[in-house]
Amino acid sequence: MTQTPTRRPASAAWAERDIPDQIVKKAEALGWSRDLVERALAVELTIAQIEQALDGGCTPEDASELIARQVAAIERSFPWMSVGTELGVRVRAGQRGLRLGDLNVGSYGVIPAEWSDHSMRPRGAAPVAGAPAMGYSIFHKGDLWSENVSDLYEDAIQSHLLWKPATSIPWETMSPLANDVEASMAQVLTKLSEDALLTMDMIGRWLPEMSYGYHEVKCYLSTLMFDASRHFEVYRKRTLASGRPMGLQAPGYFFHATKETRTWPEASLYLNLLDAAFRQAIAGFLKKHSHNEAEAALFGPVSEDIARQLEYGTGQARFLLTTWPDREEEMQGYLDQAENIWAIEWERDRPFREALTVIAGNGAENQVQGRAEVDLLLKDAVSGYLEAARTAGLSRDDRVCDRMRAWMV
Amino acid sequence: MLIYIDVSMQYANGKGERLMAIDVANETAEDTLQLDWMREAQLAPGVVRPGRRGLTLDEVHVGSFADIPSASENATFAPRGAQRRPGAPHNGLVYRNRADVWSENAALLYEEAVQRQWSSATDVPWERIEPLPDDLELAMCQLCTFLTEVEFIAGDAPAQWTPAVSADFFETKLYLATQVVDEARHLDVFRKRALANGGGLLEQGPGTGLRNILASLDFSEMSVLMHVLGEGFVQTMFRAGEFIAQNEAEKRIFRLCAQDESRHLGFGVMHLRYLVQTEPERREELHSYLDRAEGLLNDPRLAGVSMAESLAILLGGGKAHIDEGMQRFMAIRKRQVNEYMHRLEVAGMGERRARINPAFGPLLDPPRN
Repeated sequence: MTQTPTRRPASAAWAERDIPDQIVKKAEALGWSRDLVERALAVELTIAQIEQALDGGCTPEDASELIARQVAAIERSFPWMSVGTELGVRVRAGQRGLRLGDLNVGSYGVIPAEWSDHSMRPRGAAPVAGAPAMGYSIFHKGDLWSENVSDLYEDAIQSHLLWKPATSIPWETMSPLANDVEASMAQVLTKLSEDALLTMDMIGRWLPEMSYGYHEVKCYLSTLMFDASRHFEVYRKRTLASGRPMGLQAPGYFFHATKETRTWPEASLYLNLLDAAFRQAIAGFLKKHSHNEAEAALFGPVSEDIARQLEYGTGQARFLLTTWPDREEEMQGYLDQAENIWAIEWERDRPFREALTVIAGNGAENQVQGRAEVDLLLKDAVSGYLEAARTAGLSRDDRVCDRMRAWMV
Repeated sequence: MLIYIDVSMQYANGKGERLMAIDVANETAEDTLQLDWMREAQLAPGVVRPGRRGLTLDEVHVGSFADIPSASENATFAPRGAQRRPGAPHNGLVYRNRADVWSENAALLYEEAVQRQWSSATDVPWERIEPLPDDLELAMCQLCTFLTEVEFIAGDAPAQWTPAVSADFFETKLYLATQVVDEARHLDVFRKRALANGGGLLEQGPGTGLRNILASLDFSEMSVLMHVLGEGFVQTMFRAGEFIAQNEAEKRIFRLCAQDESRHLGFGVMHLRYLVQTEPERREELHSYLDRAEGLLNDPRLAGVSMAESLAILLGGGKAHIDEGMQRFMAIRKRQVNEYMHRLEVAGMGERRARINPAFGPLLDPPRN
């Protein structure tokens, strides 16, 4: 990594400044010679420090000792103070505060295509010989970077300030629902709780693999893990607050397949592109069919969180393909697999489908209406997914799996 | 009926075929809703209303919802209390014993973390930073470089253990997620500080102690090394932030970080306590982890001179006063050691006093009775 040489700090020029009158007067009153004051300045004592000493009644003998100590301090070696990193950086907060992306200035803004440092050295810091490797395995920007990732991080942090499931949701608006509807909510939220656990596990699995040349990505993914924990929390609260149990667990094939992925780009396609697109549609569906203000207030922020995840997923895939266009077929192959497994999970999860049908029909007796709504959900979900794939540069319009294509009709 | 579905039918190069055995009986015909999955049980009386702190996990975990097994067979994502589906694939190895990952305050700490999120972009009064003499600015930048690295590892370590926690003990998973995001904010805020006032990042630290945390082979090993020892020492330093900070922005940074670290410590101490109460036979094992980590912390070749010097310059008020600063640094170190010992006593490992690293021994106050 290129680093600029150290710039001498501005205060080095202080020794050349005129001595302020009040210092001269105080010094003379205590018997200091002008030469003594100039010597103090020459050894980089500041005007404020000299004035403090004078105000404290410092005699010329004390001053000489102070200067001697300062000389000793200057002569003492602090090698870490001059390690050749870029200094003089003064990043200012803008209208939205001091954001992570604002820090990418000068050499600190150089984000290399490959980060070769295996230790925990922050980007822009000076290395020390012998620092141990931490075991990271991801060192290529193309494998994890997304151009929007710093903003996604800061936006997520702001959302964490605003949305706190315990207190931000008007839980008092919940009232008992019909048994079949309530059980259906429990069933749907059980499956979505599992989705949230999958996200937490996947981020936990891959975060320690990512080297610190790309700390912005790690920061964003940390917020994603926290988002997932809030989703799990809020789904559980919504379910149990009714006094009813959780539902039947999902078949789990998609979870298993996602955990089987062997690289972060592959994992990200499963989690942050395909699954996120479908979860986004489901969150919108549940908001549309919410039964009270609490549910509406729940699925709105969930949807915003997933939108960020989808932005990362598309941005990451796009960056990878920009970096390595020859990997498109590999990525398309992963999606071939992922789509099929997602579709099989759906087909296998009759309880989930039926629960969505009951919710959309507001009761099992309206299953025709409910089923039509679920069909629409699937159509919207596939559309959203295909759009996300196109944005990522991985058009699936002619390649989406037959099961999903059938949902589009 | 079992059939095999080829999920790689469109895999372009024809390789990577994977066949999944899936029971599809009755799964596709949907002329009418079957609703056989519906559970009629009402396990708690009616709709739960939010309490003074809102609707917390503790408030919904009433009746049988509050039952937490001492051992889990659940290697799937079925949340505790969900009906298990036969044949659901396992998702990797998880700890079976609750004691291996549990902390009685995990849910409480999780809720507190959610309530006390903050933003380094907008909650730190960056406009209150003023130019510092060069020695102080460089010292602060060096300290921030060190702390940024510490926070890197403090995020990666809990993250890597998250998949090993069963969904039956999801409170720990939730807590770990809050720690991961806390550490991201810490990483971020110290980097921001280093680049906000005319300085920059300086020299990385030695990293050996950090690697020791990351290299842990057991959740409790990670927790005792990171939460109880490492973050304990960092927390004591943050609480001395009033003396280290040179302006309001830095004071706020240390206060906010200390608030987060308190939760991390709280988890670690209570996990340790639960573990030694439940599995007292593991005491010696835990001591062995601490023996090594305390040794690394005291090895002058590995301890990081730059951190100590930069802190001493900040505490003393400049290079010229580094000797006074070093005295204050040693006072903080003494407090670090005593608070560490106190936390171990709270966790039920007071016997550590007798085998603490010899370099720490002279710093220990007499035991509290």
